Amino acid sequence: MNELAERVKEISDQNVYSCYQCGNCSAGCMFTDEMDTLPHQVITLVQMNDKEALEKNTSWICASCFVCSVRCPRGLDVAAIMEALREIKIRERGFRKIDLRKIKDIEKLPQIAITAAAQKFTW
Amino acid sequence: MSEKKKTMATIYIMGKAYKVPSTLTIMESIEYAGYRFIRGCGCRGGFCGACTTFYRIKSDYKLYVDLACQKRVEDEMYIVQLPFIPAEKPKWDLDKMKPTTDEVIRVFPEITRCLSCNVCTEACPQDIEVMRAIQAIRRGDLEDAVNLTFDCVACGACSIRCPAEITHYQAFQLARGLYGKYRTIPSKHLLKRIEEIKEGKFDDEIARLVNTSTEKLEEEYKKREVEK
Amino acid sequence: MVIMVEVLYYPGCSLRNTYPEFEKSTYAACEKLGINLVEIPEWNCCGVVPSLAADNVMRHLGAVRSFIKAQEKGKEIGTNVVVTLCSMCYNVLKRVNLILKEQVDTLKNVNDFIDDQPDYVPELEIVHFLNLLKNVGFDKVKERIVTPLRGLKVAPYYGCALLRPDRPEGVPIDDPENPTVIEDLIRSIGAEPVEFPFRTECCGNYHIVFEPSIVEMRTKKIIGSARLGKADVILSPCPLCTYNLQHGNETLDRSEQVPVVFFTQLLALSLGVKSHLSTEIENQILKKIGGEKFV
Repeated sequence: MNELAERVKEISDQNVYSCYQCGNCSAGCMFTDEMDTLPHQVITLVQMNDKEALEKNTSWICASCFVCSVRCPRGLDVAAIMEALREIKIRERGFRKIDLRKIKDIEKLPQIAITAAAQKFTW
Repeated sequence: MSEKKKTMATIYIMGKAYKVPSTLTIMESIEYAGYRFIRGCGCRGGFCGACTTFYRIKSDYKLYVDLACQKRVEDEMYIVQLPFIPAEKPKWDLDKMKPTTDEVIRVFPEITRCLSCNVCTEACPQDIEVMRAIQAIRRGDLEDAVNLTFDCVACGACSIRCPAEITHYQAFQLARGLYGKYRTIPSKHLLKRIEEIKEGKFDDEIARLVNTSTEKLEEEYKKREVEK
Repeated sequence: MVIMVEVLYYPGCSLRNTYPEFEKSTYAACEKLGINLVEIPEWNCCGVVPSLAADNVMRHLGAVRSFIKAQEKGKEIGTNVVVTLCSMCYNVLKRVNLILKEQVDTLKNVNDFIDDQPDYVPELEIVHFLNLLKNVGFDKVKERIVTPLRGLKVAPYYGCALLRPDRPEGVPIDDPENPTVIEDLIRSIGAEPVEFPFRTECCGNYHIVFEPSIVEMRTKKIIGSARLGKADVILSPCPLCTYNLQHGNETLDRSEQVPVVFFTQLLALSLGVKSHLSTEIENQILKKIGGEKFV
C-alpha cells in the first residue's frame, strides 16, 4: 500500500484499492458541477500516491450526503475517504480552511448550521 | 521550649528546585524562594484570577491547575505560572442585543466546536461545572449558564486547556451581562443610589475627601467604625 | 383509548433556539397520541455531523455523555428507547451508538476517557420520531385524526440523514433508495403525497455557512421538483434542511416558492391541536382542504 493510501486507510478504515473505477459514486453525486475533479478520479489519484488528491476541491465541495457510499458496488465508504482527505489537511499544523469569526450573515444563520460547519472544517 | 521542626517540601519553579515550608501557599513559597511578583499576583484572596498556576506532581501524569494564592504546596510539585491568558475581548453592545444564547454564539461562534471533552471543568480552580455551562448555552438555556458561572474569576485556565479554543470566561461574562440587563429585576436600592448621585447628594463629601491631606486621611481611616 | 408510550427524548439545539415550533407541535401531537416524551437531563450537543474518522473518538464524546445521562434516566422510568426529532441528531446518535455496540475497543477508550461519569453500556435504542409513529401504527394515528387534510398536496422530503449511510447497518429508517414512511404518514392524516423525484436529494448541508450558492443550486432543484408535482407544501424532517429550503425559497419568485413545514406541524393540525404554523400558512392549508385554491 502506498503512503497516501496507507494514511487514508488509517483515518477512514477504507482500502482505496477496492475501487475499480465504475463511476457509480460520481454518477450519484449531486455536487459534481462545483468540483474540479470527480470523486472516482480523486480515488485514482490516491491509488497512484498522487498528493494532488489533497489539493483538488472535491473533498471540500463534498457535503457528506452518503449517496456515493450507498451506491458503491464494492461497499467502499466513499464519504469516509473524502473525510480522510479533508482530515489530512485539517490536521496539518497551521492549516486553516475557515474563519469562524468571519461568517457572513451570522445574524440569520441558525446554530445548527454553524455547528455543522465548525465540526466539519476544523479539528 | 523546643522549636518544632517544620516539614519542608521540594518544589520546582520553572524547573529549578527549592526547599520551602510545606505550610506555605504556592504564592508564598515563590516569594520565600526569593522571587518578587510584578505580574501574576493580585488580590491574594482567590478572587481576581491573576495567579493561575499549572503544576504536576512527580510520577503523576495529570496536569493540575489552581490559584497560587490559595493552593498549598505539595512535595515534588513542578509549577509554572500563566499570568495572562491571551484573548482580545470582542466588542458587544448589550443595548442592541436580546437575552438569548443565540447572541452569545454569534459573538463566540467557536463555542460550536465544543467536543464535550470536559477538560475545562477539570481545570477550574473555582469548582465550576464549565462544560455544563457551555452546553447550557448550546441548549438555549441562558439562565442555567448564568447561575452555574457566578463564581468565575476569569483566571483563564479553562480557555488555555480547551481544544476548541473557546474563551469560556468571556462568553460567560456576555451571558451574565445579557441576563442581568434584561431578565433580572432591577435592584431598588441601586436605582435609588444612582438617583441620589445624579442629584449631587454626595458631591460635597467627595470634594472634602479629595481636598484632605494624605496624613489626615490615614488618621481618619484608622478611626473608622469597623476598626473599633 | 389512550396509548401510553413513554420514551426518552433528545431535543437537539435547533429545536430550542431556531425552530421551537417543531418541538411544540410535537408535544401537542404526542399528548393527543398518548406518547410521553421524557427529556434527557443535561444532554450535550451531538455535533450535528457524524465523525467519519475511524482513528479517533473525539467527536463521539458529546453523544456518549448524552447516552450516559439517558441510561441513568432510563433506569428510573424503565425504558431504553431514545427518540429524536431532528434528523441530524438521529444520524449522529444512531451511528455513534452502533459503533460503540460493534467496536469493543472504541467503547473502552471512550469509557476510560470519560472518568467523571459511570460507564456507558451500549443498550440504548435510538429511534427517529417517524419510526416511533410507525411502530405505534399509522392506523392508530388515523383513528385520532380530527381534521383530515383532504385535498392538500404534500411533497415528502427525506433529505440524507434519515436514509444514509447504510453502514453501519441500522441507520436508514427505511429503504434508502425507495422510502415510503413519510408518504404513509401523509396518507394517515388524510393528505395526498405527490410525485417528488428529488425527495432524497441533499439540500447542501453545512455549505449554507461558507458556500451558500451551493445550497441555492440544490434547493432550487428540490423546490422545483416539488412544484412540478403540484405540491402545496414541502414536509421536512430536519431543521437544517428546513433552513436551507427556506433560503432557497427566498431566491425564487413568489410564484415559484413552496412553503416548508415540519411533519409534526401537519400532524398536529390534523389531530386538532396547536400546530404552531404561521397564521398565513395555516389559513392557506385550511382554505385548501376546504376546497379553495392554495395561493
